[in-house]
Amino acid sequence: MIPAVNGDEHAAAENVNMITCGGQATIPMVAAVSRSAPVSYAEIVASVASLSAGPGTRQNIDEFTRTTAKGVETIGGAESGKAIIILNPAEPPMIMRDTIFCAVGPEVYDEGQDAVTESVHRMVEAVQDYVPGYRLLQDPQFDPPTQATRGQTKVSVFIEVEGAGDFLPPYSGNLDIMTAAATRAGEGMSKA
Amino acid sequence: MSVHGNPELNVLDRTWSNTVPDSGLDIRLTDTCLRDGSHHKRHQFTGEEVRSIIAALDEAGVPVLEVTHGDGLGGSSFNYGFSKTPEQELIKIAAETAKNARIAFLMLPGVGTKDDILQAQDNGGSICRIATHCTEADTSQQHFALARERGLETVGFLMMSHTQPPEVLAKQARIMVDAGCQCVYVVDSAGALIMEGVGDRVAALVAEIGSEATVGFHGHENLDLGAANTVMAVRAGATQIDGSVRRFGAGAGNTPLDAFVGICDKLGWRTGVDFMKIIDASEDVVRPAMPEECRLDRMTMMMGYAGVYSSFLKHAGNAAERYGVSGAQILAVAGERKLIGGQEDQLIDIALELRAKQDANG
Repeated sequence: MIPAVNGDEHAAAENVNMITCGGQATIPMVAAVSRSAPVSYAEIVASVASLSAGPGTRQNIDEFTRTTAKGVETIGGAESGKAIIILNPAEPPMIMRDTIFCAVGPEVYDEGQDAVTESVHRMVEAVQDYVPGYRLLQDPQFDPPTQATRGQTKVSVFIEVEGAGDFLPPYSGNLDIMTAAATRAGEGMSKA
Repeated sequence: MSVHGNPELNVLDRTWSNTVPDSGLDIRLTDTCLRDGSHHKRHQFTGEEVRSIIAALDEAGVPVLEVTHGDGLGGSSFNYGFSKTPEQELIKIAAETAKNARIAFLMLPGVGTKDDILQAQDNGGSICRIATHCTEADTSQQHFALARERGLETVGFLMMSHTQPPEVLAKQARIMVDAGCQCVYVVDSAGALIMEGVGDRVAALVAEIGSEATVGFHGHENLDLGAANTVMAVRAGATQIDGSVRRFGAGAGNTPLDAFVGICDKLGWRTGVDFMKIIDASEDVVRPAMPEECRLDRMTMMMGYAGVYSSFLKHAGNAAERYGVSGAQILAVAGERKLIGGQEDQLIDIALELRAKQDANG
């Protein structure tokens, strides 16, 4: 579950699973695009600092990509999804960065850009409500339909997730977004 | 005086035939133009091109031929470029075409998955090459375990090897070997290593894993040293060597396998490849499939200089054109940000930042 996307649906549940950190960060953007224009394909690229990826993630990197890709479809609303994860060892450690690519209909390039952009901004605010370090790096980018985009309009969204730095270092926004999302989910369930 | 310099330097302590006694090879060559060249080709290979290149290189005697999307299994994407022909189809065509050569495929944990490996094996691939950034070898353990369990030959790639000293690479190679890897490559993804920089790294790997596994080298031409670096690697004990005929690879291309066969002939290293046949294949079969020659220019030299992953070339070019900024500058910033293989998406962000700066300065 992702509080900003489907938190309400599961507020009455006895138990919920929080999707991967990469999913918590990116799937809201897929959902933001897909509520504005049908998404035939979405792809997310999550880059995190090596230091913030523990043995669990490393041993189960396939499970990460598969689960996140499935979440892009079932929670994000894309017809098909793909997930890519990169562990970058740069020093000082990099802040989590994510890119979300969505394929939407060719007509969106001419008449749907404002609606998609507005929806993305609204969703960013919704996530910021429980993850203050969640930031849109650039306005969504629109590429016209060509052979390289398989005839679809390509929407690109770039975000950064900085942690609050309470217990975990600020660069590990990927860890912070999990705890922040779980806290928000718990609050929602306790109210229901 | 011999044209080969000091002949003692070319007497090899370690050869492929020490490992595989009946092979008759001092070093075993892998051509990677149908994988690394996929970047240069923007992943637009057709089945017919793959069939003709495989047939020609197999006929010339190249023992291993790699075929996959440039970014490995599952690489077809917005981030890296969509394949014109599904890679699994290309692997199948290659396996059906090759009479003697073995077909290798590449996968990057985090991009592809174990399912892709199994499918590639079903399609006739028999050498599984798993690539990680050179400090992240522990993301490959589940894949090596599976590959060995399924009887695949295994190779590990330590990408961007220029970023780490020999002793760090050796420890990472140890992780791969313990997980089931049979040969670990020092991979100079950015074409940034220079001569002894290659020799020292290969030697460190040989010292750490040499009794259990072989060591390989994969070079790029971005500072024009691909073939020279590869000679250094062999002298230091590498027995598996990558190259691409006519350099057909990312950045300024790979070590030219055709020229390297000639070099080996002159140094007395047996590769099993026929020089006349491979230079014919290079000119008559490989060149026609290339969109243009791989060459040194402002962009590719910047990659070697700034230590940037070679496959960023076309993506940086696209972003430069789209946003009206300098491609070389995008690459320089990519180097400063210490981006690694797979982070092509960040090049667009860099281009947008450069654009904003340009606009602010009027």
